[in-house]
Parts: sequence; structure tokens; C-alpha cells
Amino acid sequence: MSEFIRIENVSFDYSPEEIEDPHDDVIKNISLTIEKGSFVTVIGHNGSGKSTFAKLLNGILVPTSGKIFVDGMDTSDENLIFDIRRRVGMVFQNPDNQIVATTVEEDVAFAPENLGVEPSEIRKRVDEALESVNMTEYKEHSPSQLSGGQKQRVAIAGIIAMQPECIIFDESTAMLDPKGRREVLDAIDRLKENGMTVVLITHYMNEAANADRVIVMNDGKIEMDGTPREVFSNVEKLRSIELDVPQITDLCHRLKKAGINIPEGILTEDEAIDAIKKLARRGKSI
Amino acid sequence: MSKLQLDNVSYVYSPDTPFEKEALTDVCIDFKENRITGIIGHTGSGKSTVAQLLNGLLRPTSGRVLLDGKDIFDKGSDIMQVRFRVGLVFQYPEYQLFEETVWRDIAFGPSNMKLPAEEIDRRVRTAAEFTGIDKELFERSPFELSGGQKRRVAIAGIMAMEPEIIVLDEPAAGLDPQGRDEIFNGIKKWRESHNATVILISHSMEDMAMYADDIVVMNHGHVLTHGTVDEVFLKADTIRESGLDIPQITSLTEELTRLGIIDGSGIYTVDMAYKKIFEALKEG
Repeated sequence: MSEFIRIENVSFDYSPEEIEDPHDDVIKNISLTIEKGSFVTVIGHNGSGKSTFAKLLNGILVPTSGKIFVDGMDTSDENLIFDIRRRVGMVFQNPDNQIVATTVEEDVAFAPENLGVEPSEIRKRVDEALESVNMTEYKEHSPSQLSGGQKQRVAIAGIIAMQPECIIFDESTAMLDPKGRREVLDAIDRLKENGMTVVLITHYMNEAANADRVIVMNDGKIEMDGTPREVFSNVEKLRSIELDVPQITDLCHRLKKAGINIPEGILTEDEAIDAIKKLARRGKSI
Repeated sequence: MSKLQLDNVSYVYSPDTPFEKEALTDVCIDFKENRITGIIGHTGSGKSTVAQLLNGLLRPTSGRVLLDGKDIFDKGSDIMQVRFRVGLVFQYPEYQLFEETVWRDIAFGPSNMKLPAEEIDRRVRTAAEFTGIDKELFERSPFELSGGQKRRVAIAGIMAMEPEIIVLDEPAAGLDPQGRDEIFNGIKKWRESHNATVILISHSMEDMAMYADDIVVMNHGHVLTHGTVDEVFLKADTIRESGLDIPQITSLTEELTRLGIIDGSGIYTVDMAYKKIFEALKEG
């Protein structure tokens, strides 16, 4: 995989320049790269800097020091900002704050219209985008009558219609009920299958289980960075920075501590059942 | 003992218009005194309609809402008094803050109750303590606070009225795990010290497993089941039927029971599951 976003020694601070103090930094000297086509989850508790991090990735915020390059383009270069945002779309938390038009399909057409895309091409993009989030049957509905999960899927379709290479989800499932959350996560899975680079900011640990890579943020710094299994093997460390681990992971961790020979970092119900089945069959687990 | 009751309540939104929608049909629920009852159901199941009926914001289309056995809409009943006795915290209550300072926002409810100044101050301080608001924030504007802090201020504003019953609609929505635990633990402690009755509306079975004593499961405007947490989690199929997710731990232990590895239905905490599975694997 090739590199898509490069973050070099980035710090960020919300206070104005004249009263700048490195202790106020919300992001503290972060360096990392995000590969094209990868599915990266960023987790952290409220105030850990994860939403600020997200907003730096498409130039909504620019670093106080350090540089971010999106496909080689510097996010602090104002001449490049539209190109950057066209490539990196963002879906926000509140489903009620992102809809601009009076019907679903007009809303999805908003970004390509602004980009000056040909009308026939817009039609095609809107239809494809709605299809990919399973919202075609609602295309003539008013967004105000949709559920939270449906509104978020319309917001995602609006970004897809812009044909970006990367989509950032800034806690896009936090305000949804379990059904809505599942709908949005299914839509994200399909994006990933189609080769989109996905950055998912969340505090639901089980949403991180499907990712290629999990980045854990704490106090503006990167605390852990690895595969879901690597990260979730560190149950105590995650707890120490006020994060929860999925119930299943927690259960297996406690069994392990009690001397049961079960692997660390189990994330899903199926994995846990397999592991416990094997142990029960073997009949001597201690 | 029953503190608050929905007696055969039906509620219809926009009756006699093309938008007519029956949100609740013949709902009977007894909320027991001094307990935490969770009302759970997916979006559109009618749970928020129930919340608004409980303190008379909505008036039942048919049926009665009984507070200590008395119909809250009876002639001679003062609905304002009912609202002082049944406090309602809406979903995302942080959007409803409006005062210039945190102290004044929390004091708004008790001030409307025309309490003496010292009593208002005492109540504001007590409520702030239970919700974890530092008194150094009292003179700050509520709009300068973080989302989680605003949420606490909003909840404290209702607690400061010291209602006998507090109804909270998704009090932990959108908070991180620690923020969620702090809010729920604060509510739990407040209930214990005030002998209050708590009604929590949620779509998280996990949260209800941790914090509720009783659970009401709603679906399509009906009560699907109502019982203690232990009783309700024995009916995992009923919960699934209503479109809710059962906790990972419940579905895992069910599967292990089906495979004959453990004997454990109705398990809903990591602790319970750990004990069962440890026993099973250790014995082998």
C-alpha cells in the first residue's frame, strides 16, 4: 500500500498565537502516516484530542507547528485546500447538522454541483452514492423525516458523490441507536471493500474491532498504534487511560489472569466461542 | 409500592389529521418506589412518549397517569406541582442551558419553586456535588464548558428541584465510557440519599444491566415485558424480537449453554459470565 496522509511532528493549540504555551497543546508532536485503502480507527476518551486530530486531516484546522501532507499536498497551503477537501471528505457527529437540501437526492447532489460537475454525471454519481448506502428508495424523501441512521447515510452519500479518496468519520455513530449504528457501520464496510481509505474516530471499542489498524490517543499523544488484536491485548493499559475494552475481551482477559489458557486480545463472540470450545474439549485447561 | 403508574394509557400524535400516529396502545406500567427502572426500546418504540406523559407534558389520549394513586390531570390537581415532583431530563439536555452562569442555571428550577435563598443555594451545591461539577465552575458561563460538563449542569438543574421521581431520557448518549459511568453513578448515589425513584430511558441493554433494578422493554407502542433485571435477561429472545441488541456477554453465554459447555441462561454481566465459564473450564 502507498502512503496517502503523512503527519510530521504536528502540534496544535486552540489559543491565539500571542498567548501560546506548549502546555496548552491539544495535539502534542504527532508523527504518523496513513496508507491508501486502509481502515484506521482512532479511539480515545473525551478530550484526548481525537476530534482535533480528525479536523487536521482535511485542513479544517491547520497545525500550529509541523506539517500534514495529503497525497503530497500541504494542508497549510491555502491554494491547495479545495483539492485537499475534495479528496478527504468528513462525516460529523450530529445527523441534524449536515443536511442542506429539501430532498435526499438534492442533498447528495450538493457537493458535486459545487464542484461544477456535468449534470448528467451528477445524476449518475447521486444514484450510485445512494445505492452504495442503501438509501435509493428514499431519494425523493425529505431528510427531516428520516431516522438518525438514515440521515447519516445520506451525509455519507453526499461525501461519496464528491468521489473522495478518503472519508473521515468524526464520531458519526455516537448519536445513533444500535440499529442506526449498524446501518452506518455496514455502509463503512462497503466503502472499505471498494478501496476507500477510511479513518473512523470513535469511543466505541467494538467499532475498532473491524479495522486494519487502531490508534489510541491520550492527552494529545499517540498512546498505542497497532492491529486491533495487538491493542486490545493491553487491557490494563487501556483502562489506565480511561478506555473500556469490549465485554468479550474483558471476559477472556480475566479468564487468562485466573490461569485459563485462552489467547489475549479476543475481540469477537465467534473467536471467544471457538477458544472456549477448544479448551472445554481438551478437558484440561489449567 | 407503586409510585407512578400508567394505567391503560394510549397516546395518538396529531389525531384527525393525515399525520395521525398512535404512539402508545393500552400501556400499563407500575414504577415501583425507590427503584431504578430502565425503559428500553428501539427508536420509535414509544419510550420518549412515555417520558413526556410521566410529568404531564403530554396528556394521554385515553387512560390515566397516577402519581401516588392520584390522576395527575384530575380536577384540582396542580400540574405545576406534579412537575416539581416528577423531574424530567430530556435527551441532550445540554442544548437547553441558557443562564449566564452555571450556578444560575442550576438554580433556575428551585427559584421557580419560590424557595428561600439559602435553601436554593444549598440545593444547587448538593446537586452539583452529585453530578461532579466543581464549585469553581459556578461563576463560569455554561457555554464555556465541555459537552460532558454541560450535560452534568443540565442534570443538576433537575436534581436541584429535589423531585420525588426523576426521569432521564438517554442521560449518557454520546459520552465516553468514563463519562457514562460517572453520570450513572451520580444518579445512583443521588437516588440513595434522596430516597427517590429513578426512571432511565435508554437503548443500551449493557447500561441497563449495570445500573437498573427493573426493566421495561417496549416495542411498537406496547410493553413487551417488565420485570427485574434478572427476569428480563432470561427472555433474551423477546429482547431480540423487539429489535434490540442483547449484550455480547448474554449472547456468548447463551451459545456456550447451547453447546453444553456451561449452564447459564440470563447472564448479563462480565462478572457472572466469568464465574460460570471459569467453573466449567476448571472442572474439566
